[in-house]
Amino acid sequence: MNSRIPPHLEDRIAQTPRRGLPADLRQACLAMRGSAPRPTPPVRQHAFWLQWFWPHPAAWGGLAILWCTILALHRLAPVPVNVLAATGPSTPLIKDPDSTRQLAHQRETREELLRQPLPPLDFDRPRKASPPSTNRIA
Amino acid sequence: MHPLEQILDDHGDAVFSFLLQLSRSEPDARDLFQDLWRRLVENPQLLAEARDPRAFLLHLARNQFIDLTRRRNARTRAHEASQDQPDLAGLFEPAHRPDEDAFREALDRALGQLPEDQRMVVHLKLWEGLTFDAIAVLLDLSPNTAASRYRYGVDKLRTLLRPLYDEIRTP
Repeated sequence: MNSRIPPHLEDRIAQTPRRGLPADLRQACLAMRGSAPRPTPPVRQHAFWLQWFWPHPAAWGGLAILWCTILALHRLAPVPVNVLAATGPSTPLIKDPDSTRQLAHQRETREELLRQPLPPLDFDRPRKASPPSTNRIA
Repeated sequence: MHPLEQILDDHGDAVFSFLLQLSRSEPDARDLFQDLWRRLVENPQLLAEARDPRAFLLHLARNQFIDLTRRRNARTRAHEASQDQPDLAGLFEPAHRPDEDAFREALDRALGQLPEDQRMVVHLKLWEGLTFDAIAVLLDLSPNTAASRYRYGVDKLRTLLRPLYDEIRTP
């Protein structure tokens, strides 16, 4: 049926110039390239702690403020006496010279007494048998 | 020159022509081309991974066209397919010579009467010069299917164009 048609019809068709990209569409594409949003950086994976905190930021923030207040008050409060006593002998509590001298004397006396052997107590000696009392009422 | 501008210069005509061949509607071809270009602008590494940029772009264009036809109403497509004399798609540059312009117009209409799958293969073979193996990869076909679609398509074009072609060739 197609034997009369020369085989180069295909070449003839292929040589028919196609329409190219319209100039206005090309300009629109180039403009789109210029106005394209910059590629957004990849979203970083949130740290574990951030994921944990994130659901209730106000509650966690309030808790953090409360702890900061507690720490600040703790630092500003006066130091109690028993804490000062526990700090050791390097920080003398009594600064009056007379009292200091008196205390030193007492300390020496105490050490001197501790060095001396203690006399045997009375209840260690055997008790003498006492004669029966004549005053006893028969 | 910007790499994307280079791509537009190297492949823009081929991709637009392919889209025009598939859609047979200049507004559709323009929309599809802009959508495809937007994808490239927003995701430039798409092309960086392609071995053959032209084939890759034609593949993207074909997918864009398939998406469009799926979105379209089936009734509209049936109406278009039933037209005996399809409208001119404006596939070719005007020659400003009566005989040649008549041939181009007839070729345009004849291509419009081909089924879509044959038209794709004929276009890629005749105007892109691709082998049947390359066409098969691009359209997800077997090479034999691509070759047979081409044969059917060209036979139909011969039948439709024979009277005019004989007239042109007769001195």
